[in-house]
Amino acid sequence: MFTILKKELSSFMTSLIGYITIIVFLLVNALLLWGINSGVNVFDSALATLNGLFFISPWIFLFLIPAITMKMFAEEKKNGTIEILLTKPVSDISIIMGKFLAALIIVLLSVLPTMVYMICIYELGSPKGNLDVGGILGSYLGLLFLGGIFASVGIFCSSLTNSQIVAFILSALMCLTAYIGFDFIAQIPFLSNFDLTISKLGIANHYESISRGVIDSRDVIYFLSITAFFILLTKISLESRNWKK
Amino acid sequence: MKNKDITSEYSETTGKISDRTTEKMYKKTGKIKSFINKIANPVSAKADVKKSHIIQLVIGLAIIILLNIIGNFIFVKFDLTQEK
Repeated sequence: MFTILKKELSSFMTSLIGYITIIVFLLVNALLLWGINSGVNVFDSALATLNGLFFISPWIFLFLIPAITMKMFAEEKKNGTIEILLTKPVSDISIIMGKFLAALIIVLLSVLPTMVYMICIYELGSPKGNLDVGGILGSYLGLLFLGGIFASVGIFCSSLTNSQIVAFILSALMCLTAYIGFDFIAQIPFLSNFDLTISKLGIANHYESISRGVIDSRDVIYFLSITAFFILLTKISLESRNWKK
Repeated sequence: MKNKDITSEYSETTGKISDRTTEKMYKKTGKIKSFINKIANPVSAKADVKKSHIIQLVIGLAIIILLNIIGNFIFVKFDLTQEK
């Protein structure tokens, strides 16, 4: 598993696309938080909070994480190296976990530099240090869980096709549906009696809950179970090669 | 009898096996290969793999739903905020 993790990380770090995705994430975040008048601008709100970052980050993740995961299995399938990989003395789940952890580490690497914003707001606060650090750390945890779900969805979509573009579009759509799709369904008048239950099925509801800085075991179970479900789906998708012929 | 046919087509003058004979040999080996494939990968075994994957998926889904339902009744909260 760790060999695959190292291989994935090194292949990501040696390619330009890896750096581009991280730079784009940081640049868009920085521009919306500190630069342009976006509605989440720290200077405009005049509040010592990082709520803006945790509001826009999931939307950037919707494109960033599929871009990271799109090549994980699709490229191997296209190059024909998937057969070699699957015949190695490693289990399918080790391969998937290696790739999943690599994607999660890349997400972590792109989120870590935003800690600088926390230091900036801490320094800018009046009085200095007037910042809810615990709450922000809880929100970071929520962002990491969200990244975990998106990464598992992305890896699953990558295992379905040998085209990276198809994998990217499919995973972006699936992440979007899982994130806010249920909220839209809950707004349908016909389903108004079950609106709360339906919206609880979506990621956004749990992410907003954990972003308040209160770690609820229900949210943690939800995030972990959805991630595990998509990892299971990836495993079945890989093993479905035995169905054909 | 068939072996006799094949050997009879061996040309002594040229020292080569005729095209028709090689075609027959290929047909024979093809039949053997498909027979071996049938034994090695029976259809029922493939169906079992698919069935076991469906069962895995259903069990996985059931565990996840059950875990979330139980988690809704038994839960803990860690408030990291300063406003308590």
